Amino acid sequence: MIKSLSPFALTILLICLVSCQSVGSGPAPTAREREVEATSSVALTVEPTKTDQTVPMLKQLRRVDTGGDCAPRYKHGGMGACVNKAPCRGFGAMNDRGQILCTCYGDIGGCGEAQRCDEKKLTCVPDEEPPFNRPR
Amino acid sequence: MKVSMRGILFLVFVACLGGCASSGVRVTGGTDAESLGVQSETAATTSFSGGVHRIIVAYNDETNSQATIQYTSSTRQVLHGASLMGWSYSNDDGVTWKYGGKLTPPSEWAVLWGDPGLTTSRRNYGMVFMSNLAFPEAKFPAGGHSGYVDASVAGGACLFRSLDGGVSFKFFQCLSDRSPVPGSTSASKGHFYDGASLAAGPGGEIYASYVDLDTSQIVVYRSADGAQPFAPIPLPFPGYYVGSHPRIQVGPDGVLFAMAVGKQSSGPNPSYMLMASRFVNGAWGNVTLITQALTYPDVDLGSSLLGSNLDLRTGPQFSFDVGTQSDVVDDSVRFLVTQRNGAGWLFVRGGVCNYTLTSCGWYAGWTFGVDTVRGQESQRIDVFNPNVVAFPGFFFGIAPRWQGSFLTRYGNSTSTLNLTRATLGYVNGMPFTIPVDIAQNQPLCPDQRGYMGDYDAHLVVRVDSNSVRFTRFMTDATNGCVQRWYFTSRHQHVRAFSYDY
Repeated sequence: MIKSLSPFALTILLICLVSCQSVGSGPAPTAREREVEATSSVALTVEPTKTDQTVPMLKQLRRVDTGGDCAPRYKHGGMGACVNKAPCRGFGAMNDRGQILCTCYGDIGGCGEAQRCDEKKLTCVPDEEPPFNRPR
Repeated sequence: MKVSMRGILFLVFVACLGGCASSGVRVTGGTDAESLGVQSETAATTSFSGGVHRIIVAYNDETNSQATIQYTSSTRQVLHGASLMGWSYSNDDGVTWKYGGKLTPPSEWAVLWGDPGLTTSRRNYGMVFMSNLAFPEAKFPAGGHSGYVDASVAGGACLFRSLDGGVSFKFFQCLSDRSPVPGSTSASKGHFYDGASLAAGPGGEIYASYVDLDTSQIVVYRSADGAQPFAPIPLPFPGYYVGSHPRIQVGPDGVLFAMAVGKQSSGPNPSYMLMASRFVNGAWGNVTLITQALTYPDVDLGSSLLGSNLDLRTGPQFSFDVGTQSDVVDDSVRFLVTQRNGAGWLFVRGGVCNYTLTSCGWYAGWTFGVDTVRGQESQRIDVFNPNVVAFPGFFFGIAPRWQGSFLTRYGNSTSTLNLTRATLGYVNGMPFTIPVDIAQNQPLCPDQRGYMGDYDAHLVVRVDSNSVRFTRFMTDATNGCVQRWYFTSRHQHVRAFSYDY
């Protein structure tokens, strides 16, 4: 069978076989892409845009156990806290002056009535919103 | 119509090239058992054992899980003994894949619940560690757990170790913090860990990291040599509110790097920042603020499928690696991070840090997607779920490589994604890159929550005399989308896309 193929056909088949040898491999880099150096051998002509390191980040307040039995339950599980005898959609924490307050990762006072405090987004989200980003 | 032999051969050649270029290789879903379950969300590594070079990929595995994870169209019941800790491996550089199996929860642990992490010892290439989140018995109700997974049941992570290069794994250790957290009734039974990032150092040390959602901190554990047990090391970002999965890497001199997203400002439109730190001589250095970041944005595809809106939830929106620096500047840490433009579209920025992390910044030339909408764009573009991979280039004089990859959504209304790669590089001293699709129009099949695997692996799998092969994994719905329930959908399997660069 191989003998009956013309040189052209044989070439095509061989190229095809070689190209498919690595099944699933993507297209080879183009000549233009090959010009992109992974590490620059000449001085860079631009500086990277840097972030101001003095812009403050939120600092964690120390969590405290506030007791009580008024903690609100969230619609899809989990609950808030009972802080200073008031329902808190967040958790209890102590500020620098020793005051106990309700907060949701920096949102002092906690979340609103129809919200819950989300530990992955670190903010208030609608209580209706399912906790999509929990593990599988 | 008469077609010549030459014409037929040409068509076969074109079809062959096209097929090889874009279809990828099925990792799971090829057997009846795999096909009945779902597999998605990958971590991967390579090993060398018994003369065999092997690629290992772990994923959230529901193969043969029908007895312990039970669904209706709107509920999910997880029973004692459930496990998502499965893996596959390839002994032929990714041409074919073999299902490795499913690990069972160890004593005192009820469930192994995914979020895989994998790494290989750099002192013993046959030693591979795999991590999964876990539910302690102390938290797990006798009748099982229904619905969402949260702090009420999740309470740590378990590590299994392979000494044969990823063919088999045995239980090594579970990691858990049972210290009380004020205001939490469940933390004393095990803090709620999420995500996983594993890395190996040149001295044989192994690191495992997670986000502790009870304390909003990244936690890192270290085994000195892969034989001694893991023990916690200090927190990399103490005092900050951290919500994202961590990512860690180890430099050639054993310096450990960690990145995560922290909260910068509160209010109705809070802002978040990608942060980095290094662990040197037993202590973390100063925290470097890199650039703005996002926490788990959802992607609305503007369409519906099987009667439900097609939305995707996402994973950690940053990635980095430590590799070879340029001749003229220390850019040995490179990162990709997802941001949102003024129109709400997601795009990915790339940038660099020096090895000491004292200087970080992003390059406009490494922008993927649309950072500023100018009204000329006819269709929406979202770019997200980035990965960065460095190849140091020390084998046989092969030049270093820096590759990035991400998912791309084109169109105001669509039901597919493209998988794109790019060299994070330079032309004539200018940061420059050319994105190339390595998979196009990949169909989607998320469950009604938007879950279709939150993150995927991208790694170097083979080095030849003149090329380096990379593999990027992706959730595969090419078997069709036949069911979208609230907590599960079919089909979701794992597919590998490889390319030489």
